[in-house]
Amino acid sequence: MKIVVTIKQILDPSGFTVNRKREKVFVNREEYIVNPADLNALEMALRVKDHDDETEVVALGLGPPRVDDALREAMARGADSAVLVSDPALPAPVAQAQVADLKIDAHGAARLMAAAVEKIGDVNLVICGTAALDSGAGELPGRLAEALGWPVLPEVYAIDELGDGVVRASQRTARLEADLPALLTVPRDANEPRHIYGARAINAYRQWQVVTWGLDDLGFTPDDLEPLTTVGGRRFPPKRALGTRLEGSIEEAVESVIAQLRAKELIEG
Amino acid sequence: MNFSLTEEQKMFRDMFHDFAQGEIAPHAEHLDKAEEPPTENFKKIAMQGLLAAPLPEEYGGAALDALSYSMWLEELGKACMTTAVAVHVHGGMVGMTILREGTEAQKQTYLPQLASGERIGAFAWSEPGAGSDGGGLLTRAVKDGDDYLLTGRKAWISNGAVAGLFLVFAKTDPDAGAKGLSAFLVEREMEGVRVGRTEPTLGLRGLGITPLHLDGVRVPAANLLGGAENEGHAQAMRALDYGRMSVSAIALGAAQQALDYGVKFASERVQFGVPIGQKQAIQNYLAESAAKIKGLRHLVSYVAWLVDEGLPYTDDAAAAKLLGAETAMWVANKMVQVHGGYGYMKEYPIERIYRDCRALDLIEGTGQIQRIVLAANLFKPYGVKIAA
Amino acid sequence: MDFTFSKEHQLLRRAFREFTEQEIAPRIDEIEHSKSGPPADLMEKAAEYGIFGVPFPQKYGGMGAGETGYCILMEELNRVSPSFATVVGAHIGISSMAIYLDGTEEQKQKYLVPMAKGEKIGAFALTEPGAGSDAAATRTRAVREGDSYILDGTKHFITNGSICDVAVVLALTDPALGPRGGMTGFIVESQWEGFKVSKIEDKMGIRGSPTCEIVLEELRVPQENVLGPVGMGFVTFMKTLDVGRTTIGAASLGGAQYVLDRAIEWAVTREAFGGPIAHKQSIQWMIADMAAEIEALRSLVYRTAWLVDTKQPFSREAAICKLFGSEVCSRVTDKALQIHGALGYSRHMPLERGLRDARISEIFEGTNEIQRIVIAANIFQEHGVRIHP
Ligand SMILES: Cc1cc2nc3c(=O)[nH]c(=O)nc-3n(C[C@H](O)[C@H](O)[C@H](O)COP(=O)(O)OP(=O)(O)OC[C@H]3O[C@@H](n4cnc5c(N)ncnc54)[C@H](O)[C@@H]3O)c2cc1C
Ligand SMILES: Cc1cc2nc3c(=O)[nH]c(=O)nc-3n(C[C@H](O)[C@H](O)[C@H](O)COP(=O)(O)OP(=O)(O)OC[C@H]3O[C@@H](n4cnc5c(N)ncnc54)[C@H](O)[C@@H]3O)c2cc1C
Repeated sequence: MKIVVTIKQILDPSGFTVNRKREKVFVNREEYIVNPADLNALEMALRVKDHDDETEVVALGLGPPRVDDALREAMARGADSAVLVSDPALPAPVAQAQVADLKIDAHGAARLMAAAVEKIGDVNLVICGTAALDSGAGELPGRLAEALGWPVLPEVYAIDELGDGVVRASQRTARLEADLPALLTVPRDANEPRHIYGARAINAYRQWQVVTWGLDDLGFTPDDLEPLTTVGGRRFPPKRALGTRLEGSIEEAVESVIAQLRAKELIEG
Repeated sequence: MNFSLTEEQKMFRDMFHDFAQGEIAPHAEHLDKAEEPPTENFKKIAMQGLLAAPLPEEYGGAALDALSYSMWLEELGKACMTTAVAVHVHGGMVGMTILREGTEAQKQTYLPQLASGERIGAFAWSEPGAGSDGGGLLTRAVKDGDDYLLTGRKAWISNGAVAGLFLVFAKTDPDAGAKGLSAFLVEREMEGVRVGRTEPTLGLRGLGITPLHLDGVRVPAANLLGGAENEGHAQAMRALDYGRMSVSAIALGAAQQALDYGVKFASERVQFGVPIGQKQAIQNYLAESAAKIKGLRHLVSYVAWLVDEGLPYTDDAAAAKLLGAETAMWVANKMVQVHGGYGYMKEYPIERIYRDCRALDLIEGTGQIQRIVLAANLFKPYGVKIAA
Repeated sequence: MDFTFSKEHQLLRRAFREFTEQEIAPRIDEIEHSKSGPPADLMEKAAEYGIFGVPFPQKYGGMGAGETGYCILMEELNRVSPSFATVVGAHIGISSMAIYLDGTEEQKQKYLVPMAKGEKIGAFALTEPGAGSDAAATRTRAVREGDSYILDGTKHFITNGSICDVAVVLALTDPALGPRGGMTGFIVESQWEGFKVSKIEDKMGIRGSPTCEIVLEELRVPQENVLGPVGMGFVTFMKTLDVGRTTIGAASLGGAQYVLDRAIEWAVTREAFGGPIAHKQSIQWMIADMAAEIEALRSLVYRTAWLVDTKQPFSREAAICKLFGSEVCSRVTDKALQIHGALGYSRHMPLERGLRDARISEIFEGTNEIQRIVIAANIFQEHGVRIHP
């Protein structure tokens, strides 16, 4: 079994503060971490490997050269090898590009990563974190599956069976099945990611390499990556208004809700 | 100037020493290990008439002058710091405060009970939200007819586990900051008084330090200390002055005891073919300790003399408390070092003394607060007022 | 000059931080109340993550992270649990290290490899009731009998004594020669007949690390378990302590940084006299002094680790690490406790344990007086003067 896990590097949220009043984000400490849900995806792959020595887990990243550190961390946690898609022609951090001048969007990223999965070859399963903590879009997994032409099993908590051309997996309340090759997405509460193994941390830098592929290697030119989306503008998400607390008995509260909904003309009568 | 003790004081000193070493010291290790309040010690001390020793005889005290009292606390400090602090809070912080500030009826009612040990006293000032800053205290006392209703939470109350009488500081005028405090004599059995679980601590493990919950406790106006509202802060500051003298005496005893253990160990322990006391490094620790202790001893006696003469002593007591705490902590630390690995073992009393001493820079005003008191006093002649 | 940590060491620190925060921190009470060392499953997990072999080469089952990696480990462990750090430090820093430094290839394969993997736990048995600072006063006897040595004597204050599988022991082979040619190191297995734990000490701090008295009674040690050349044991043991010293500085650094962080948090939250106590200069001064000492210590520790890793002389610096580090940690912890007021004195807060735990570093692995002797001896030696302890 060969499993690719997508690894996104994001800015450490504990390193910046958000000032709502001034609608500004202050970066106090520019440090990067692996997107948390991607560690859950990695953990799911490693659990397959725990039970089957033949399984190979490949970490796949996309972005500027510093993403190398995220991929080595994935190896230190147990991935067998790592591939980084990076090219000076790609705009700097993908995450920022999505909100800035958008030279590449999730569609472009997905196509590049699909090409990388194909180049890795013989991949049975791709596992992605459900969404990235920075953009929160959750757009990539679907687009990647689409680019690969594979089925998606979203929000998977555990793989129940893998092999014989099928994967059976559990969501929180349902069980799903798909033909292999397939793509799974894993939410942040699916499992407890394992630690970085000390010796692997050392080896990840001293012995193992991250394979880097540029656009050329994947048969792309920058023009192929014209974004499908355009940015209409940026703004802070609206502040959520606090709810109101209704006093009194249940009957009174229900009356009050109905009255308010009527007042807003959301219900009639 | 006369540095000699009177015959009576000499006799007292020897008696205090023999009693403390004979009756109190042997239980120090147990109190620490079991984390039990010194109930038996209270009884024995009460039998000697020394539980509230500075109180006049008419109230059951031993009418000790301040110098004799400081020698008593010093001897207790040598024997068992937990017991020393417990006795100081009981007789000094509570007993002497009632004597100084209370109405005659309050003295008549409570002082004999304290002297006999029928009630153990506790001084309930600190709260979870404030210790140094009286203005930050939140416990409220609201007048209700002839009574006051007390509500609030006190923390860090020494003797709390066994106390029968709490001297509680509460706000009668919440808008006046520290100046709106009043002191109340609250009996343990009054309804709404609840003593919480004993706080586990680094040292002084038998002190029975607890929180105290006051849930609408109805306290008769007769139990308002001195019968006057909003005098609590001033009353507490006078109590603390006296308390600082007392703590400095305990610190002196602890430091002296630590040094004695160190000298004994250094004279017996042989390494490199000689007693380690032959090495200058060890001699220096001992010598510096002795120098600090000698200085402290004179200051403690001087403060006691000021008290006995009826002279102002606020800043001298603060200085003695500051130096006392720092000296005791410094000496205990060095004496642990003199003991090498043995100093880290509970088999050797220095281990306990080291932990006990660390409290001295926190109680009756932290070291930082003593500095504020001293600095404020220095600027007084220049008309400069220091804000804490 | 380059003062940055390598990328692998940065990642290693994160690995240790994850381990200590997620696995050790939630179990502090359990560790502190255990009389038989850290819980077995925690030791197993630590082994799985390679913690017991950090400085040793991978060919001996270690991590190959060098002295720098080992210092990072001790710093991170001591932040959270000095008891756990002590168990690990005695195992790696003095016990396994002695075998690594002077063991034969067979001894390394037989003992160091499983020790580095955490399958076997080590102890270092030097101190005796009559031989503390003066290790040359060692009385434990080793008498040759055929292919073996028979050991008799009492060692005390031995960390891990009751939980070890392997102990390195210093004994007298030739009383006439004493430390110069008459003392020999031995590798001893705890399940051998004649190895008896006779007492577990009740101590001020690091209460989760067992400190034991061990009686060796007609303990038969095969000749192949002689550690280093016969008669050269004193040198092996002293050399081992030399290497261990830097990491006491590192451990102290971790402990000090931890309590400084707590003190800063408290100073900005606790209010007295109209605002956070952070606004008072008494508090600011304490914080500034703490930070200054910690910063100096950090530079000192990692410079010394660099000396070790680049195979330069480091004895004096290592002794300074131990001396300065342990005193900084005690001073800083004392101030952090003071800033917490009464709360600092409570066993519900980490400052109280911090103060008790920090105190040991001024005493063990050579008291600070002995460090001063080592440093002075080293300095005067450069001037051709030999000093006596
Ligand atoms: C063993 C023990 C027994 C005790 N027994 C009693 C008792 O019987 N009754 C009782 O009422 N209380 C008791 N206490 C509480 C003690 O009185 C308080 O701990 C002390 O007053 C300090 O208050 P705090 O702990 O709230 O610290 P805080 O007042 O919050 O002080 C925190 C830190 O800030 C410093 N600080 C505060 N204000 C200033 C300032 N203006 N300038 C500079 N620095 C400042 C302090 O020195 C300290 O370092 C006891 C405490 C201990 C440890
Ligand atoms: C918790 C703990 C764990 C320990 N773990 C181990 C272990 O794993 N293995 C092991 O072998 N040992 C261990 N030890 C022992 C430790 O190394 C010794 O305690 C230490 O070396 C001091 O020896 P000592 O206790 O006999 O004190 P002593 O040597 O008796 O020292 C007493 C005092 O004299 C001073 N002194 C001694 N000689 C001189 C001199 N020449 N000049 C100036 N001052 C001097 C010392 O500095 C000290 O202050 C441990 C000790 C403790 C407390």
